[in-house]
Amino acid sequence: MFTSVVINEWRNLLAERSFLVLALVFAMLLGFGIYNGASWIKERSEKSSALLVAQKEDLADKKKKTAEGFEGSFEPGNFVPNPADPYTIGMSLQYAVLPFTPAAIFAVGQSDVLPIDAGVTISTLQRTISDKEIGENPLSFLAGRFDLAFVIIYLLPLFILALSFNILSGERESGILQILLSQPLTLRGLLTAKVTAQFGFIYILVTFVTLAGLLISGVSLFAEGFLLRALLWLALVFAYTLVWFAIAVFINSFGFSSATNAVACSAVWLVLVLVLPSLLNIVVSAVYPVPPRSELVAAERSVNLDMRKDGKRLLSEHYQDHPELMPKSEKPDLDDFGLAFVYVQREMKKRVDEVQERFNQQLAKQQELVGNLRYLSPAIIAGEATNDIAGTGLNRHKHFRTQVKEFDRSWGEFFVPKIYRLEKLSVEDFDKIPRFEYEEEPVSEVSTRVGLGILALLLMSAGLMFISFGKLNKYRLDK
Amino acid sequence: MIYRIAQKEFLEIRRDMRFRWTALIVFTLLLVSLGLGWKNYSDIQRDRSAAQADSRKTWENQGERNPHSAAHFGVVAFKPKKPLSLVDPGLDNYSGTSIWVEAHYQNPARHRPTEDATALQRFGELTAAGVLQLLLPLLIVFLVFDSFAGERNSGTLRQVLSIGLKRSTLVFGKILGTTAALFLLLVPATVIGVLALALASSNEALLSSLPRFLIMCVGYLLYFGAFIGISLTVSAAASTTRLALIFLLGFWVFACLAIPRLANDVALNAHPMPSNKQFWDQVYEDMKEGVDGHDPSHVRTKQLEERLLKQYGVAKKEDLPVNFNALMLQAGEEHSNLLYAKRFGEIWEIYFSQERTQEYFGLVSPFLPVRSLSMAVAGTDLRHQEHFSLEVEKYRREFVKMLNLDFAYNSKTSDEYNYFVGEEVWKKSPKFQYVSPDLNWSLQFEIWNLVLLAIWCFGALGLSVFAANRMRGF
Repeated sequence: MFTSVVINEWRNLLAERSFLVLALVFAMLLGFGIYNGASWIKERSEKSSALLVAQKEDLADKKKKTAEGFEGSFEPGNFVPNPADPYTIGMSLQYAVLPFTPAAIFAVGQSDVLPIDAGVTISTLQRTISDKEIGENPLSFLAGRFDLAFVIIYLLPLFILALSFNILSGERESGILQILLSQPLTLRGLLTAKVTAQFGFIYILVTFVTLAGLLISGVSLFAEGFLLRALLWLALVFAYTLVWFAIAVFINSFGFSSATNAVACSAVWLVLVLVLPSLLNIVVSAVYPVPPRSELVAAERSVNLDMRKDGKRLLSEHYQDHPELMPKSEKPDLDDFGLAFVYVQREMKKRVDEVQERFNQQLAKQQELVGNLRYLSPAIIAGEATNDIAGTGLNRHKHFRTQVKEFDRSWGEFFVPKIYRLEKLSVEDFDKIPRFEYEEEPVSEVSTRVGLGILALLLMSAGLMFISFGKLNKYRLDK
Repeated sequence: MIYRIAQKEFLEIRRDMRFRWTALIVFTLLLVSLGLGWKNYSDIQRDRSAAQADSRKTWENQGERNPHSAAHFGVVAFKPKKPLSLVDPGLDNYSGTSIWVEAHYQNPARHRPTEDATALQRFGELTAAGVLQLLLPLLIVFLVFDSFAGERNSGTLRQVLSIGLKRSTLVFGKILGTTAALFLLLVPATVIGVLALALASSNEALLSSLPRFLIMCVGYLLYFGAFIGISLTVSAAASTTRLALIFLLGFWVFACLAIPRLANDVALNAHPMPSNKQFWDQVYEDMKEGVDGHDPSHVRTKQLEERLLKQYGVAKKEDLPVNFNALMLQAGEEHSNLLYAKRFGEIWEIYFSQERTQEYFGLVSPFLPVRSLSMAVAGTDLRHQEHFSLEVEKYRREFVKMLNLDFAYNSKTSDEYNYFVGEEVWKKSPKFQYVSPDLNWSLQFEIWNLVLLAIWCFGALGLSVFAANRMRGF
C-alpha cells in the first residue's frame, strides 16, 4: 500500500503542470546559483594567483641579480636598491593567500567580506597597498549573492512548502481523504507515504541538478577533500529538506484550511529565515560588541615615537638591549634613517596588533555564540554549515588569520635581525626566505561542526513529526 | 458607494485575526528596528565625532616637525552618520567609514563595519527600511489575496455585482479600505519615526531631515500602492484564493528576494573590478610616466627647475630664495591630484555602472527602486559615499598644499628637511568639516527610480481595475 501511495503521489506531481513549471524554475535557479558561485571563485582566484606569481617572480629576479653580483644602482633618476638588502625585501608587501576549497562553489559566504589575501611585511601595513584596498562595491553586499547557498537556504524551503502546505488539508478539501482512508491505510501511513514521495522528488531533483551543475562548471570531483565536503553537503541538504517537510506536516496536523496553512507556512518561513537571524545578529553584537574601528585608527596614529627626533636615542637603546644584533664588522650608523624607521615600525606594529587582537577576539566570541544560537533556526544551521563546508566562513578564515600571524612573525624574524646586523642576503639565503603555505583546517573540526548541525536538524524533524503524528488522532476528516 | 465599500473592507480587515496578528508583529518589528536604529545612530555619531576631534588633537599636539613629514602623518576624516540612517542605514555597514588624509596618497575609505560581523548579518539586518521593504508587502499580500477570490468563493461577489455596482467602484473601495487599514499601522509608526529623529538629532539636522523623511514616505506609499494593486489584480484574476495566495507569495519572493540578488550578480559580472594590485600598479605607473605617458616625472622636475631658476634669476637651486624640494613636492601633488581624480573616478564609474545595471531590474521588481530611493533620501547610498570621498579629497589637497607651501616659502633648498615648525602651523592648517549635500542633490540621481515607482504604483492599481472589469463573478 505504501509504495502504491508513493507511486500515485509521483504520478499526481508529474501530471500537474504548475508543479512541473515550478520544478523547472527551481532547477534553473539552482543552476544559476552554481554558475554565479563558479564565476566568483574563478575571478577571485585569478586575482590572488596573479599576486602570488608576481611576488614569486620578483624574488626569483632578486636572487638571480644577487647571484650575478649586482649591488644596486645609485645613479640619480635611476635608483635601484640592492636586491640582497633584507630591508628592501622585508619591507616589500608579501601576500599570504587563503586558497578556496574545492567545495567553495557551495557558498560565496563571507569570502567577499573577509580578505582572502592578507598582506605581510616587517613594517605596519599602514603605508602598503594592502591597507589601501579599493574593495568591492558596497552595493554588492547589500542584497548578497545569488549563489547555491541562497537557493538552498532561502528558496528550497519555499519550494518544499509550496508543495506540502496542503499535504493533508488539500486531500481533505477535495474530499479524497475520506475515500482514501476507507482503504486499508491509516492517516499516518498515508502522510508518511506522501512525505516520502515529495521528499524523494525534491531531494533527487536538487542533488541531480547540483551534480550536473558542478560537472558543467568544471569542479573536479576528485580534488583532495572534495568528496567529504560534498557528502557533508548532501547530508545537510537531506536534513534541511526533511525539517521543512516536518514543519509543513506539523502545521497540517492542526487541521486548518489550506489557505490558513499557506499563511502559517509562509509566516514560519519568514520568522525562521528572515526575522530570527536578524534578531539574533542584534543579540550577538550586543553581547560581544566589537570596539569602534576608530580605536584601531587611533592606535595606528598614537606615535609618540618621533623617528626624526628620537631615532638616534631609540636605536642606540635598542642595540644596547640586544647586543646580539650588533653588526660584527662595522658599527651601525645611529643616524641611519632606515634603521630608525624599522625600529619605529616594529614598535607600532606591536601596538596595532594588540588592538587588532581585541577585534579578533570579540569576533571569535561572536562566532562562538552564533555556533550555539544557530540551533534556534534551521536556516542559521544551514547557513553556518554551508559556509563551513564551502570553507568560506569565519571559522576557516580565523584558522587562516592565525597562520598569517605566524607567517608574519617568521617573516620579521628572518629579516629584521639581518637589517640590524647590516647583513646582506646570500644566494642561499633566498631559499630560506619564509614562504606561506596554507595548512587546511582539520577535516574533523569541519565535520564535527557541520555534523552537529545536521544532527540538530534531524532531531528537530523527528520531534516535529512525533508531535504531529500524536495530534493526528484528533484530525477531523470531514471539515 | 466607494466610501461604503471602503468602510466595509476596513472593518473586515480590522476584525480579521490574521490582520491583527501580522500587523502586531510587523508593528513591533518596526518599533524595535526604529529603536535600534536610533541607538545605533547616536552611538556611532558620538564615537565618530569624538574620533574626529581626537584626530585633530593628535595633529595639533604632534610637537615640532618638518611640515612635509607632518603631512605624511596626516589626519583622519571620519564619515558622519546621517540622522535618517536610523530609518535606512543603506550601505553604512558595507562602506568604509574613515579616510586617512596624507601627502602623496588619495586613500580609499577603510573599515567597513561588516568586517566585524558574523555571517548572521548577511541574512539581512533588522532595520525600519527592511521591515517596510520586505515585510509590509507581505502583510499587504496577506490582507488582499482573498479580497475578490474570497468573495467569489463565498458568493457575495455575485450579489454585489448583481445590484449594478460598477466594478471600478468596487476596486477603488477596496483600495481605500486596505490603505486605511495599513494606515492604522503606518501612521503611528511614522509619528514614532519622527520622534526618534527629533530625539536623535539637533534642531538643524531635524529640519533638514524632515523634507527627506517626507519624500521617503511618498516613495514607500507608492511602493505599497504597487503591492496593493498587484494583489488586487491577482485576487481578481485567480480562480481560487489558494492560487491567488501562492502566486502573490511567489511574486514577493521573486521581487523582494530573488531579483535583488540576481541583479547584483548580473551587475558584478557585467562590470568587473580590477584587483587592488592592478589599480595601484596603474597609479604608480602613472606617477612615474605621467598620466597616459605624458610628462614622465624626471621631465617634470627638470621643467620646474628651469622655470624657477629663470623666475628668480639665479643659476643654482641652492641659490633660490625658496625651497626647491618643497616646491617639487607640491608639483608632485598637483600631478598626482589629476591622476587620482582619473583613476579613482574610474573605480566610481564601475560602481555606478553596476548600480545602473541593477536599476534596470527595477522594471521587474518595485523593490529595487524603493530601496534605492530610500537610501538616497536617507543619505546612505553610493552617491553620498562618493560625495564624502570627494570632499575629503578636496580637503586633502588644501591641507597638503598649505603644509608644502609653508615648507617652500620659509626654508631654502639647502635646508633640505631641517626646517621644523610647531603648534601654530598645525592650528592654522585647514580643518575638515563635512557638509552633506542637500535634498535636491540627492534626488537628481533618483528620477528614474521615482518615475519607476510611480509607474509601478499607478500601473498596478490601473491593472486591478482592468482585472476587476474582466473577472468572473462566480
